[in-house]
Amino acid sequence: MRPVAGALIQQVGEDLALFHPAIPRVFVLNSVGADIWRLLNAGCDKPAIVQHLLNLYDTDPATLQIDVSKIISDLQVAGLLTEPEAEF
Amino acid sequence: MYSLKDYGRMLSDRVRMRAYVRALEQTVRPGSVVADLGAGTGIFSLHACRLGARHVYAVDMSPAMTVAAAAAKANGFSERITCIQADCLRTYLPEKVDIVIGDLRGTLPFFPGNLEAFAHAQRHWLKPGGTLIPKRDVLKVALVRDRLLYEKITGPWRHQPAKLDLSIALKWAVNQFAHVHLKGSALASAPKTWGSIDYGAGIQRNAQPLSWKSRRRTTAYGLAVWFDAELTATIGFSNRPGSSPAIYGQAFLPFENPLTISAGESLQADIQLTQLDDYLWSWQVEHRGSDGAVRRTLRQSMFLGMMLTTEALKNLRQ
Repeated sequence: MRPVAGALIQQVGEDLALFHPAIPRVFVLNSVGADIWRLLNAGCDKPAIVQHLLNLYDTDPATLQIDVSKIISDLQVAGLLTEPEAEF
Repeated sequence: MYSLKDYGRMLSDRVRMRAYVRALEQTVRPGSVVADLGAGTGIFSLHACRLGARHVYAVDMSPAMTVAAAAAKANGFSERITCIQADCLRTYLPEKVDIVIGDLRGTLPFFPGNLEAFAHAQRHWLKPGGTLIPKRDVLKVALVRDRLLYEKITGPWRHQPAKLDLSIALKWAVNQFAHVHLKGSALASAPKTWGSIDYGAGIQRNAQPLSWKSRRRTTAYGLAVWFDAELTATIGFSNRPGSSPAIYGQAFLPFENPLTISAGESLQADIQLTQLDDYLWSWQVEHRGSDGAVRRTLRQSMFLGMMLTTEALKNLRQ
């Protein structure tokens, strides 16, 4: 999954506000969600994101995996993520 | 909520008033029943009675309804005007009407509640085949070359009083909508149609981005947006820069940096509108060379002009 083109962000403290002109709502991510967004933007997939976050936060992998899946799912439902286009 | 002074300004706007009164003259027949949507101090209601309307329902949640009722009495129309101080969206009239007239716009027609109120009035108040005034607003966009206007918006943040740097504020300043009254000479291009609002059918937006090709070197500082109103099929008015000044003026969407375009080069603007509690404009602008290659892209939005706080984000989370 990749952030949809045209998404705009504002960093507010540790939180991240996300907006896309085609979606009539502002989406707010906490610091972990903000890290996930940045990692998705950098092209990371879910396992890589979990691995990165395990290095940053003192948490157990199972819980983190659930949290990451939930945030990615929420972003997907909100229309802020898209499947990358196949190269062929 | 408008003040009495604001209503006075609307009443004094000759462009607006003349067109609205002509639209009433064209549509009101003896015996017509009229709804005055967002009636304010009731001027359209009074004109409708003067033109022979059997009854007018003046609806507005504003305390200005007190003035409307007093004006109805002072003009001998108190038996024919029913003033209802209530939210239009929660109001149901005792009978269907022939005409719904109203002006709930701000600088642009995209003013919170405007389209919703007309949709409600059309659905619940208007007889089949009845008349909505206005009929349609057409949204126009052009490039702006007014350097002084741009300076007013960005200058305070670029200058450094006592060598203190306030330039961080620029990222908000250039993403905010400014209400302006531009001269015709402020435009750097011909206007293009962004889309329209049909008060009976909603918003129709042109799918393609707007594009301007420059015939000579010019600098564009932003986009002007205004509307041309069609009150009826034959009566309307324009808020284009340089026209007789109407209360609405124009909206100015600044560029984060001025774009200097040489002859043969072009600017392409994809302008989007999003409805949250208020309407947010977003504008993505591409400067293309004469070979068609993209030289520069600006991605701007009123979202980026929102001065968000942690407290505001708490509310957005809910």
